[in-house]
Amino acid sequence: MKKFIIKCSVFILVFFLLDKAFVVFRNLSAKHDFDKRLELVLNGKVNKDLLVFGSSRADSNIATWMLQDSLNIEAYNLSYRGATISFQEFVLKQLIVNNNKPKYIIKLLDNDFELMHQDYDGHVRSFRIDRLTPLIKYSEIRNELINKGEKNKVFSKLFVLHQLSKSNLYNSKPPKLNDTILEFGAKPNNRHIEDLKWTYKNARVYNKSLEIPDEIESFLNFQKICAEHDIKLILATSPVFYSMDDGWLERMEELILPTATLYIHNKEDKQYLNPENYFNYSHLNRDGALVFTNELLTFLKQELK
Amino acid sequence: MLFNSIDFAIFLPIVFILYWFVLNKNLKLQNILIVAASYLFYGWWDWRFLFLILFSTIVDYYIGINLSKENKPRKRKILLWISIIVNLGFLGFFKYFNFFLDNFITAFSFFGKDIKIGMLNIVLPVGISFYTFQTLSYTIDVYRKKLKPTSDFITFAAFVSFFPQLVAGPIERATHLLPQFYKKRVFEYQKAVDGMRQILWGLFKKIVIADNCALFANDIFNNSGDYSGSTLVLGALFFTFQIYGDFSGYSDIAIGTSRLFGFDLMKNFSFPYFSRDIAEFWRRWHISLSTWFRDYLYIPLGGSRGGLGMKIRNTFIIFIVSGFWHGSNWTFIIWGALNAIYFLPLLLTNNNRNNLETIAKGRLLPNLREFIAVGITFTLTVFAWIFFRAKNVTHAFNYISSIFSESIFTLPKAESFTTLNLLVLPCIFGFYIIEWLGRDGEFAISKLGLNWKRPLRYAFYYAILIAVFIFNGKDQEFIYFQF
Repeated sequence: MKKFIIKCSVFILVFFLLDKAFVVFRNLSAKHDFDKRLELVLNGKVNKDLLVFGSSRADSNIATWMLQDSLNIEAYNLSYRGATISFQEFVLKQLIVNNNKPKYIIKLLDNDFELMHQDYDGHVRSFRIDRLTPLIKYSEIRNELINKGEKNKVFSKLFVLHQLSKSNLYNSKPPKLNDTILEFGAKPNNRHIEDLKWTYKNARVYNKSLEIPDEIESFLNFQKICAEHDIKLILATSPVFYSMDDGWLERMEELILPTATLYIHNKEDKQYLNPENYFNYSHLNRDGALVFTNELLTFLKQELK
Repeated sequence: MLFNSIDFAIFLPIVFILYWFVLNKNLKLQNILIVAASYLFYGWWDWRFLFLILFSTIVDYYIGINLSKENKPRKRKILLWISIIVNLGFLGFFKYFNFFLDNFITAFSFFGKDIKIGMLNIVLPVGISFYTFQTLSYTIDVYRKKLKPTSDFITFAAFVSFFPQLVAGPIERATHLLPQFYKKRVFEYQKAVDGMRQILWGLFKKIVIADNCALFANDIFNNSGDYSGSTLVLGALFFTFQIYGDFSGYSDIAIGTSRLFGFDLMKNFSFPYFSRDIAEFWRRWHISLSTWFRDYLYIPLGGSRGGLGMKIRNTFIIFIVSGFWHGSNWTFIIWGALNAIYFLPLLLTNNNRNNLETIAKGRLLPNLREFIAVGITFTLTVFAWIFFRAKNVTHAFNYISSIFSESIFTLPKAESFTTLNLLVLPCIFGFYIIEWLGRDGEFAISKLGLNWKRPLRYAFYYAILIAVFIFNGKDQEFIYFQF
């Protein structure tokens, strides 16, 4: 028994020491990541007047540079494709802690499924763990992964290897077309899917039972954080190539706090019926983004006076 | 509690220390600790189902005692049937009630009668199929007078609930496991070291191989309509490795853990993918279940004795029941029937016991004949797994028809084929080689590496452990828990 205990202890001890060598992997991992925005947030380098939050809608539909030029303020797009509102809340919290707070935030709503994990076409949205894992060297990130149940608190403290995942071995994946990250953060793409049947679809009836309670909580928290820090929050809808369901809009109005402003895009604008302005059914392309950003600017100029 | 969870990594050393350092002088207390630890282990999921195990334990304990006292065959038979009805009744209700109800409704609607009965929202207790079969083996063996019943309730409860094998086997026979609870356990260094090695290999199989193959298999099976035939072939291949890594990995951890406590569990897997025919495959895959069905169903039915018709009938019964044991879905029944069809020609031509020895014993590589035989058996197995994995029969047939289309000649492409996910391919390759090199042992690394120089051997173990850490995602359940 004694021999067994000694042997196991030595084995674990050697492993414990060996494990520490993986700090190098951990720390190098962030360097290889193409999307530096979250790291900039953590390092306090996103000190802008206006920020854009959201999922791929905000990433595709807003031409952030136009906001900056027209409003004459510094703007940056912190939206992430496929990100849930809980992920956006996490980014906002990190932003507030580590940076100068912005004056304005535009958060683009995901028509029909803001509070869900899946849209009607089956596209999944998630808390973007993959955006966190390359930044595992930061304690804020480790803590969040522990909170999310991805990592164990004790093991995370004891073993560097437990902090890692296979994405830390290989994370230099090139950005996808929608992932173009420039000086303004995320930006729209130039694509238009030709082989889609570009027929304008009718509204899909909003199904409240598919809402995720945690996402509702995050949606409310997001607004509360902005209110607490005196940040003007604009919650905006954006064009999609199908009509917007009134049930969803009513539900949003129910959940929007008085401190936030709801902006509903101009549904009558004919340009939003032109497929050429879209990348796919639910995202504008660059041309469409220019039209929508222009429309939004008219409102913002009034609102931000 | 999952073997691949942090909870278990904390639970195991605590139980180990209490078992060997605090209670080592008292066998009864050691058994009480096993029962308590096992109930905690099981209750970690859902404590409510502990009552089911307890009830089953009490029923079989008393039936066992009464069977030994009773001499009248009729009364003994009644006692046996009470045990069978109670155990299979629970299993039937929790696992098969909705299946039968659904098929009952479908059958009536076929004849134009619409019956409106709502399905019950039944939660399947983890491992019910495993411990039910284990307790049944006890009652049947006592009934057959192969085993003296125990009068010690704690010992019996420990036998039923022994945590390493409670939720996914190996399904132990009372004749093998129960006597081990009577004997004072002595710590054996070599046994414990072997146990640790087997746990390590089991974790590698589960976390690195199975969970990572699952990324591809789930994507391809769940979106099979979108993918080419060549991609679907890969999907079936990935599932083949997933299910083996998952289930045999669990068995390795279970057997290894038992060794740490001085117990020997039966071997459950013996490198089945190196089998040269289907009969050999079934001697090497889920051995504890196959032999259970052989001893308690196939042989009582007459086995391979009797005429041609009886042989065919018994073969189909055993394979179909075995398939149905896995789940209440027609896909499992077809999977079982398909294996029966594979097996029958061997049985009918008396070729079902040709390959009893390890393949290429004493040689590094198989000869051409063995290689082809393994290839054919493996292909048949992969094909059968499609039914096992498919959501329903239509899905399985669509999957198969999509494979046999022109698109089989295109390059495989799937959403999950990302460079990141594909990092597991070298691991699968290495795993296959290690399994081949270690095929003569109890488990792949039981002998492999023992003759290597110590630094090399330990580098090998550390490499496995590092892979386990790095490839570890969120704790993934074992596939066989659902059975």
